[in-house]
Amino acid sequence: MKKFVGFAKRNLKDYLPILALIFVIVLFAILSNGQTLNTNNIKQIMLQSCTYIVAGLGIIFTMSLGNMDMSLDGIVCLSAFLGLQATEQFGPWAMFGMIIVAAIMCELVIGGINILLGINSVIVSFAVSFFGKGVAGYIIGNRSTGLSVPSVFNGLYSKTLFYAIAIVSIIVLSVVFHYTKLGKRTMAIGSNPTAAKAAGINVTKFKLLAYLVAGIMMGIATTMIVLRSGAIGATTGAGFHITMLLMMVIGGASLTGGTKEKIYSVVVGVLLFLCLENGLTVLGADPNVIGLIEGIIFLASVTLTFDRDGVPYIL
Amino acid sequence: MIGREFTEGYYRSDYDDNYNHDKVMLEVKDIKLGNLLKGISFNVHEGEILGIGGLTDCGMHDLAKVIYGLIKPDSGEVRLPQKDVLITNSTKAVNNSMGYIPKDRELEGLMLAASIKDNICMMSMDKVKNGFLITPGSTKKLANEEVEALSIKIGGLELPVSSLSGGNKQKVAIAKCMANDVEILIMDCPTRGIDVGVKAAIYRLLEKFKAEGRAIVMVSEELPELIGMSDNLIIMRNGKVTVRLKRSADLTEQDVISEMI
Repeated sequence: MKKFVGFAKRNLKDYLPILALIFVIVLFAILSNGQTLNTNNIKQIMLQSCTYIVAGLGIIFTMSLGNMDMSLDGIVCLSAFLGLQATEQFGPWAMFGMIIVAAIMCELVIGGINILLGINSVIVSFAVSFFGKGVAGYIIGNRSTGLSVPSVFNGLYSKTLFYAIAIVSIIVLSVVFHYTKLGKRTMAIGSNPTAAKAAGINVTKFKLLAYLVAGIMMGIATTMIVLRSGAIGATTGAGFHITMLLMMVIGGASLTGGTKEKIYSVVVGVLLFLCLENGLTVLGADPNVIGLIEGIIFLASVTLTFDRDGVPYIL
Repeated sequence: MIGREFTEGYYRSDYDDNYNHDKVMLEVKDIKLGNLLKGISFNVHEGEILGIGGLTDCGMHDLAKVIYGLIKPDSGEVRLPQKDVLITNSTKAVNNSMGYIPKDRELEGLMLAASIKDNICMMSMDKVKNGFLITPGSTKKLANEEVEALSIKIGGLELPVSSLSGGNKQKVAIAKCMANDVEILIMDCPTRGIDVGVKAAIYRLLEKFKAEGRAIVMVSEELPELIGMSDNLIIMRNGKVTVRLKRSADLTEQDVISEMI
């Protein structure tokens, strides 16, 4: 028994998000008399979660470097815009390539500036976010016709495809993150970059590779957003960065990066956030109250996951 | 630093010339770096412990970093004659079986919040990987081997390194290098801030590494340790080598200090 208590104490932090998820599901099921467990509602949450999970699986790589990424809304907006713009010049199939290339470029720019000029990634990613939203918004605003997904792809927005992409991504990236050199080394860099360099890790190369993975996953996520919404405007992707950050943190991802990062915190965090928001909406809560509750949970999660040992020189 | 007694069995007790003079493992040629290093050259042989001493700002700590490729020198080269490679960065150094134990192990050497296992396996990912995959089984096995070989006192492989004492932290830093089978080990103040018991254990490890034919460069601020452990001793002052001494029972701290200041 004593042994079990000790084990539970040590691992509670790791499993807290899962317990919270179960708690939230049960709580809202009781409060709403089972309305939240309705098949349509669950399907709705699952489908919503796919995009966030795919994006989060990429972002966890840069997050494990200790680099917070606030550029996601700009990346979604800019690459979605460039992708649909490309369909007008090069035909419908150019959309996929263009979106993914644009997202990769954006992430690599953040990584490159962060490495070359040594500027904090939060600042650089904010700049990229403003740039992306600015450029896309300006051109979309000046257009006389709207931008919409080519009609040949109308059939692509299906639950099966979205679920398949999400599941394959989870499997592939879990392996890459936890069982390959790339994942292990990004986490080592996040833990202590000086020690990582002293251990022979090519910090520049692995930082850029982490940003590359983030870019690819952001590209796929943007494609899913575009397919789902069918058309884009200047506000496409608005708030994506904040939502994503919130989801990952309440899932247990550490903002300071390092070897404690877990890929399941993305999946659990996304589901936890969506269940919470959905449950509150079903109960008819005021949107401002939802924001307040999210804020409190965010603060509590950061307090629990912030890795104080890893940053002795900051605090 | 001065006035401590040499205790029997604490440092090395042999005074013979017992390293392989024909096999140069590391060749440092005319390293210059701003005002810090003004043309340093030396060779390290198989099974040799080379001590580098001096006052702390004489450039020896920077020299250790230059040898390992962490700092790029203005001129000069670091070469491994056995493999015929030039060391220009730390990745190259690690790939060619070099290891470095920094002076400030908490900030430069270890991932404090990470587990002991992750720290030990940090340098040897190429060694533990199976095709593309690094499995928990192989990392655990390697970490266990090293913990046993260096008799590190830990509560469990998954505990953070920050939970260990200074001496055991240093042992983890050494284990990290040993896990990758380093042949050339550069140690910057290997016994800084470590209690007497673990210090002796580290000296025994150094003897063991020497017997296994590894080349060791030991930068240190402690004279008894340098005199007691090194086969050859280089004393530096203001970025220059002032004297090169051979191992002998007659060498005293007073001989060395006069060259340092």
